[in-house]
Amino acid sequence: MKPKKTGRTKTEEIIRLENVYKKYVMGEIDFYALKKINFSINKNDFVVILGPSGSGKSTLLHILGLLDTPTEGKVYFRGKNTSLYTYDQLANIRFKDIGFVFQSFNLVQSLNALQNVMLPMMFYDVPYDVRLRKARQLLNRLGLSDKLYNLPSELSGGQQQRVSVARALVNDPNLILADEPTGNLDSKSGEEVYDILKEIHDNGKTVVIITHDVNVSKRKYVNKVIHIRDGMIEKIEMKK
Amino acid sequence: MDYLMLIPINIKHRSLRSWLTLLGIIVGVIAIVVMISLGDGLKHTVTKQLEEFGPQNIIILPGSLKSMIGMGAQYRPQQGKLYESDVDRIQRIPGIVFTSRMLIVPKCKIRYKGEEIYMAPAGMESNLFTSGIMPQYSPAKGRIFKDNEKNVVLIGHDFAYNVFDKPINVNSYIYINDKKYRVVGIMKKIGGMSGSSGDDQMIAIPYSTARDIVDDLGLMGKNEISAVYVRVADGFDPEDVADRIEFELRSAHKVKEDDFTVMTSEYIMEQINTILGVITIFLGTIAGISLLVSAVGVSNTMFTAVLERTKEIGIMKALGAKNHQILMLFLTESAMLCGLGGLIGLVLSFLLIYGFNYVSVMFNLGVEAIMTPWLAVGAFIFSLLIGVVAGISPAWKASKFNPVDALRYE
Repeated sequence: MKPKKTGRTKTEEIIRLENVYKKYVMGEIDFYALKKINFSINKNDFVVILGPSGSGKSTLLHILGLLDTPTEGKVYFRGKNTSLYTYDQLANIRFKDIGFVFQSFNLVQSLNALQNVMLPMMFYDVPYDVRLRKARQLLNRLGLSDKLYNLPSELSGGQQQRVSVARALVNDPNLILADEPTGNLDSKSGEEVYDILKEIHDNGKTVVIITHDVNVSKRKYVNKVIHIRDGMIEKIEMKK
Repeated sequence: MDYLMLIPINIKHRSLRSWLTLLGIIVGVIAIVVMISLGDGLKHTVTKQLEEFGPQNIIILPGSLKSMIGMGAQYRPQQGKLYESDVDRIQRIPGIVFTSRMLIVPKCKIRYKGEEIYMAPAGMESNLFTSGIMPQYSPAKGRIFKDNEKNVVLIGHDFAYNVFDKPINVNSYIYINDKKYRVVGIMKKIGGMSGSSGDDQMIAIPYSTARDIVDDLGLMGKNEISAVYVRVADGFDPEDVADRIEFELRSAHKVKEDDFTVMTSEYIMEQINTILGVITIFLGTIAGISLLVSAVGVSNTMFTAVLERTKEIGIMKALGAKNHQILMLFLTESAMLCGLGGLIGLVLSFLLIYGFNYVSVMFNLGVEAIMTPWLAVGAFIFSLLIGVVAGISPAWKASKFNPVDALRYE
């Protein structure tokens, strides 16, 4: 796929976190997974959120993906305060605007590759032929044309992650959130996944990768690195 | 609602354990369907036979049957007797075309060509046969006796051909209590619930002859009779006439509690419905318990499924599935699972009923179970409903999962 001319403007904001705290109550102790988080992600950013395990980066991904709500603070999605949205409206945004890629792929084991990619659209009554066409196109583009009817258990890790990427892209979302996308892959498959993510970014999408691997942040197409430790932002590194 | 297309895939991937929980639904549906089909068939048969009996006919028997039929009743028939004088009273009631007396001669020795058996011949009046009160009672060979004839006998089809080694023909002689009787007629085969109606084995003699035997031997009271058939004129309500008969007999017998039974076709139908009602409640309770237990089983298996698919639920929610869609997904799956059990139960019920009817025809039992389409539809809808009820709680639980927690579930 060829890169599009995106004509991005630096100011077009996708998501902004304002003074976000996430507190878990463990018995009598309050545990803060996130403390005083402030940053924003703009359209066509390639962001790496970097931190060791237990630093709160997964919690941050859940909040960015509107899967979880902060205990304190505000999350603005395309300029709108998400705390005002109903649960169903948040689900709607996840469906239309956010694509998830998980470390453990999170494919539905009883569905084949094609069905897994079609799955999100089933909840929004996208006509069957449209579902099928989109899913096929994406899987073909990601080199899985001969694996359409294979169950996840019949696919290699790299192939499963490509199915998961296809599922994330099927609605043409603006924001792709990837949680350690290469964590369970060998280096060759991992590299393939990064190539795909770069291509997505080249096509004008916003990509956020969460990882503990400092090498990821050194890739040249990454324009923002958010260092996180003990639930707090250590520093935000702007590149380019 | 496209997401409901996931259900067949989920059902296909279910474990043997969940299929086993369907056994309860299958058994429950079979119990209900077969029971109702049999009840309907029995009612149909009885109604048909009552139609043959004729709505304008009444039978009066000595003793009361009322206390022995019905829920919780003890077997305590009220003793009582009927007399010729009762018949004279009844005959005066308006709306009665005629009456026909019957006198059973208890335990007579009957001999034919050296073979001896003991039976109870019925003394009958010829008008019962000639009036058309019971059209199925007509001779296949020979004729009906006349009331004033002596030493003649009319026999049923099976009595003629099956009771003795050698068949009896018209104009054969048989001996009743060592007296010689000529067979004047052999009745048509009637058949019935047990393949051979009791009446196919009948041996009837003129009422006057029976009276003589009974009086000579002192077997019963003076002028006592065994039963009375009453024919109600068209245009008269047999129930009204029956009430009148009861009134007359009560005042004649001077009793508080009836010591006789006046049977109209409606009365018989009521009694049968009462008996069927008791059986239905009994079997219905068993079927109901079976379905209740299986509903708990299905609920349990749905909880397991929700737990097993926690991660899947998290994935679907992350991808944009809404709570009510997850609820519907599991609720519908539970309903479909039970519906499937219901369908299997229906197919097995159909086979059972088909088998029963085949045997029934083969042995001429006279009863056929009837499975009506509405019964099949009703049983199916009922099993779906059980699925819905059993699925509500697990589906609700699934819909309320926090997506983050669900995604972390391993």
